[in-house]
Amino acid sequence: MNPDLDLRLQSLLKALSDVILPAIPVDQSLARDQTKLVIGHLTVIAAHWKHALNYELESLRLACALAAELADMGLTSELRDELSAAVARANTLDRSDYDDVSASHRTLKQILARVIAGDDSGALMPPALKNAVLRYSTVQARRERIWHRGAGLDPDAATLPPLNSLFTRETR
Amino acid sequence: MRAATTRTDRDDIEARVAHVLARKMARRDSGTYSARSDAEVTAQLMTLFAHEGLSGVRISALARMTGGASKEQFAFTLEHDGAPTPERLVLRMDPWMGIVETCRGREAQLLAAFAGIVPVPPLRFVDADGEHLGQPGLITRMVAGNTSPTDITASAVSGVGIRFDHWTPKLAPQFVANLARIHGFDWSRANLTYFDAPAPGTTQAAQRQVNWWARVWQQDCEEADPLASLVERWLRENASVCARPVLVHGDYRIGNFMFVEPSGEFSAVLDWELAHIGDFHEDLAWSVQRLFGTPRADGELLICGLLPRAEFFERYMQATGALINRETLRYYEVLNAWKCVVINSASACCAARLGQSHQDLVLTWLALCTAVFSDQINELLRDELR
Repeated sequence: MNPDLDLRLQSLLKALSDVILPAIPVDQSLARDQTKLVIGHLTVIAAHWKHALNYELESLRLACALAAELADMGLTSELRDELSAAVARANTLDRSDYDDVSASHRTLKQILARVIAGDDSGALMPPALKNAVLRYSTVQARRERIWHRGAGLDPDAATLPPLNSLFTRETR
Repeated sequence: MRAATTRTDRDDIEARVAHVLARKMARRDSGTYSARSDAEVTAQLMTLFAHEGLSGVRISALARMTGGASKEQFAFTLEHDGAPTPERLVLRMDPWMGIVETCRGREAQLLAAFAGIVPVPPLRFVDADGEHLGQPGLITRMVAGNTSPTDITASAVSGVGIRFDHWTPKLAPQFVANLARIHGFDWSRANLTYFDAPAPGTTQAAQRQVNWWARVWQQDCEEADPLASLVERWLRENASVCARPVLVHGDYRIGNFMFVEPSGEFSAVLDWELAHIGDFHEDLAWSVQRLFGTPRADGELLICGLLPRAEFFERYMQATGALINRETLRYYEVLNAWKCVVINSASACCAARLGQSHQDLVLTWLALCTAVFSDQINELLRDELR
């Protein structure tokens, strides 16, 4: 593919930084701020696009692992069936289709959220459920922080490993 | 102190808060929103001023202001027959949807109530339901000052990333003193008709916050989150008792105060839109969030770029005489981080996807920091892992 996506993104960034931003009058603050944010978003996207499918696949795998843990925690038969259907779907989908992977991940998380929320009976949260979700979230939140560290919003970005580390066996 | 039961009335939300959240949903199918043009804003202001009975109105030097993440803001000069001199004013107005949905009427009541107590922009006009401006808005006098020092360069969105460096000794004492004044304010004697106070000595203060943001999550959530579900349940099960409700600013942090140079004197505490009556720990827990902090040269995180955490709490207790309860503080740290997950992950992305804000780009940018708050929750709840 020539020009490839990296080259096109690089050209967009250069035009925005070198031509478009300087041409916006200083009193047009909304336009100037938004142009800077376009540059920021494109810079992050340039780092992300090649890895997006792998990132989402690993997120789905972690959600499936959480589902497997929660499935044995006294769910109603209806919820258990929904959860196992969503996991089965995740295990048989086309793993090369980003949209399919992403949709499957969303559906699974929706069911997981209902499992975790419990019913309205006032029953206290089982410790095992809390432990499982916190263990999952500790891994997933750190992955997300690494994924988004290029935005520069994370106050502890300097302590995070580089984006590529997400796709090595050691970090996972 | 903890709640004895987890069964709660999820509809126990302040009436005005419930109203603005319902109003947001009523606008949901209205299509996309574009930034207002100068001509539109001028026409809307003329309508408001006509309703206010002003004659010979002239509006000039209208200029859009940037910096916030939710409201459209414009500076302008107002002249009319009843005023001897031109007045520089600021219009703060709702788009159809923002990162938070709040009430300009509540904000206006607080600006009026706190005049002379802490520095606030003087209130001039309010249109709480947008009858004249088209959308809810309020107008204040322009206040001199900046949210960040002019001699220090740092990139910041919505205040996040500001550095104070050598300004810190001047600003830090005022940061604590103004918070102490806000919490010492006798709200029971003020005209705060848009507010409902929680009952003292109960968990209502905490439960109402959980109910408010759970409703927002329900309305705006586009992608479920196991942690967000867990935290909502945890917050209901562990709701703190609030002995003595105070006026909580709700967004007391870096970027939400202005000061003048070279004195460093505070000229305004801004952004009262999330204020409510609740537990003072909530404001402390908000200010200490990592995202609002700035690391010092030695690596220690300064709360809102101003003070180490322990020193911030020590100074607050000295100023107020209040005792900080560590468990209550942790409860509100979890609540606030969860609230930020709701705001950044659900509302920001929802508003951007619907195209109902004037700056969708800022919203999707801020959504990138959701995991910072999620990880903060993991850290806070880590000692509950068995």
